[in-house]
Amino acid sequence: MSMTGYSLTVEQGCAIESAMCELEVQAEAETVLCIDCSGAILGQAGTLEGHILDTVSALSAGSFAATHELSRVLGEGGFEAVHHQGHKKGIYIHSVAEEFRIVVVFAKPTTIGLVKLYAAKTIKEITPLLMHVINQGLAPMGQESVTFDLDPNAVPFNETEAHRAATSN
Amino acid sequence: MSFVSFQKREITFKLVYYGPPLSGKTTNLELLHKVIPATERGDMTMLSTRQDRTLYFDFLPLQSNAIKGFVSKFQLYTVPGQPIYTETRRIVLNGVDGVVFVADSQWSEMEANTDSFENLKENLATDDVSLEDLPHILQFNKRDLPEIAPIHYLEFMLNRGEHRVPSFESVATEGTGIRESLNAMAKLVMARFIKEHKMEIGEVINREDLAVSDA
Repeated sequence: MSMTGYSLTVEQGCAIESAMCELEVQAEAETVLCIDCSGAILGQAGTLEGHILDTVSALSAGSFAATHELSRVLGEGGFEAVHHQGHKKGIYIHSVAEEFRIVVVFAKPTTIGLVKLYAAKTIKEITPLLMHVINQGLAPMGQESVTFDLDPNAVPFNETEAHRAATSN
Repeated sequence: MSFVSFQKREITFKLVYYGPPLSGKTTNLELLHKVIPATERGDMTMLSTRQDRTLYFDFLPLQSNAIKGFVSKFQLYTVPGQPIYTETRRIVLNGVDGVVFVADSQWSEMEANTDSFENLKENLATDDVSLEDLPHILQFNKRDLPEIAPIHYLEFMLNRGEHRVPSFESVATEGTGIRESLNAMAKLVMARFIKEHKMEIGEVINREDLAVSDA
């Protein structure tokens, strides 16, 4: 993958979201995410939304990376999948095209067997697409007319009014 | 490793706060969580030991509209500073777009600062990334304490590369200098992204021109 980054076209984004929706329905999951190894979300489906998705993806990426490293240290060479089982909910994380992960959050009565079965089908379908994404870089064909402009005077992050008032006194 | 979704009109960047143990990395994120309006941030997640020392990482998601027509999402991470967690730091650094190095200004911590700075370079190198090529800034923290090194000394210790990087004084416990550091880091990362994107557009257009001329 390019060190500087990569991108998804509108069509690729729709294809990934469609695959996530299909997996969510078939596996009767709560939420399905396609993320990269840094925790950025490429597509999602399900009930979780907003900033909590960012947290789930960051922790999932971290959890998978730690387990992967553990396996490497033990001479296994890297686990392909991780499954965390709770009393009511479970999480299944599977590697796709090395750089990406499918995260399935599920609850009873869905079983890990059902999740694994349909996740394998989804992974097989989206692997060629994600392999292509790895190689296309930041400016994929068809999106080259899009330009990015940064206002040199823009302040990316402001402070709350309360903090501004407190510090100005 | 920035990520653009043209479908969602979002760009995602990863920033890592690096530095020696107890230099104030977690405090930076805690205070940013307090200072930045709730509409521009999510909840902070901390993976800590019982002694409130970072075990894996802290995480704070932010978003900004600084790039026109796109939402810029920033994922802020800290690393555990203790020397034994070097593998963990390497994992957290994976895919990083920018580093805020939080140095402890106290005289007693100078060796810890330089050790951590060297460790940062070594961990980046394992992923074939050079600190010189990565947007980064320095934050000299704990400027309110006694027995601190002068700024020119810290600059000499940590900022004497071929290209000097921006540096900021801070008192993270009071929120002083932390937003300024973040904004400078965010601007550097976005400027780098825009430059790289323009270069890649040039390559795409060249490829298309070559294809036309071949035909």
